[in-house]
Amino acid sequence: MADNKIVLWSPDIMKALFIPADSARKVEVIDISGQDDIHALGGGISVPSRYDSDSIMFVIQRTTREMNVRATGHIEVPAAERIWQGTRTCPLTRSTGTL
Amino acid sequence: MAGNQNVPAYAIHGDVVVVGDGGSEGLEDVPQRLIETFGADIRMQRDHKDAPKRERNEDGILRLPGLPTVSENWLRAVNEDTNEVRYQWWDGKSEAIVWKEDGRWKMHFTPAGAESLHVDLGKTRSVNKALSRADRVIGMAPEVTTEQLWDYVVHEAHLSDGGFPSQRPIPTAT
Repeated sequence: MADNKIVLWSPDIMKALFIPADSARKVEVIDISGQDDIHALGGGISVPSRYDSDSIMFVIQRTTREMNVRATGHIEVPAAERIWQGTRTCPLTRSTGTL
Repeated sequence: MAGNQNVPAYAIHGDVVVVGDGGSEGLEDVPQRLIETFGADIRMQRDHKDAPKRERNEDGILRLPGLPTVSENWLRAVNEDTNEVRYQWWDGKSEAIVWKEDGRWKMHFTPAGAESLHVDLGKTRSVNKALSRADRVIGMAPEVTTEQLWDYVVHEAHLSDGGFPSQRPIPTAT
């Protein structure tokens, strides 16, 4: 059987979580190739914020400023838990490393 | 006057996109725990449009899914002696091996009924990130032809940007 040689100079395609402000819409996992895609989703303006040690939340600013209940709930709960536990650090849950 | 207890003191307004933070390596896949937390549906983002649906073709080959994730029919195991990650389709007819060599992740993919492929998955320190790239290439039905596989890699797996060679690979005789 022949053996194809392919070299993929792949851009960084990564999974991202899209959380619409409209609660009637479902949260989706989307593929993006970088921050430019996020900006494009938001029509040009997206503001990065950090609430976890291993993720970045980009808030897309539009003319409609509907409150994102799900995203707000997500950042509230960990903060409350950290205060309750008397610590300001975030638990590391990533299982990454090198072989 | 006391505020309304139901109104958070701080709220996020607008749509939100969450990605993983790979530190010095930049952005990476959003952590799985967040996907599970939000119970997200999954779709493919392609040029900001949904990827086209692909149905069973005239050869009766299974359609290539819009989302190239590895199905539960793929068995994935790590060989700790060789530091290789082996994928195997449930019937053993298709398999792939992922390993790290000279700082780059490599994959040898042998789909059933198609020619074997050597794939350069790029350079990353993250095992999960490397396997995520591998998942995107092999996350399809295993019964694919080389033509479909190439078409899939270029058009469906979103690997055509960033200097991807435009011509088909030239098969080399063994």
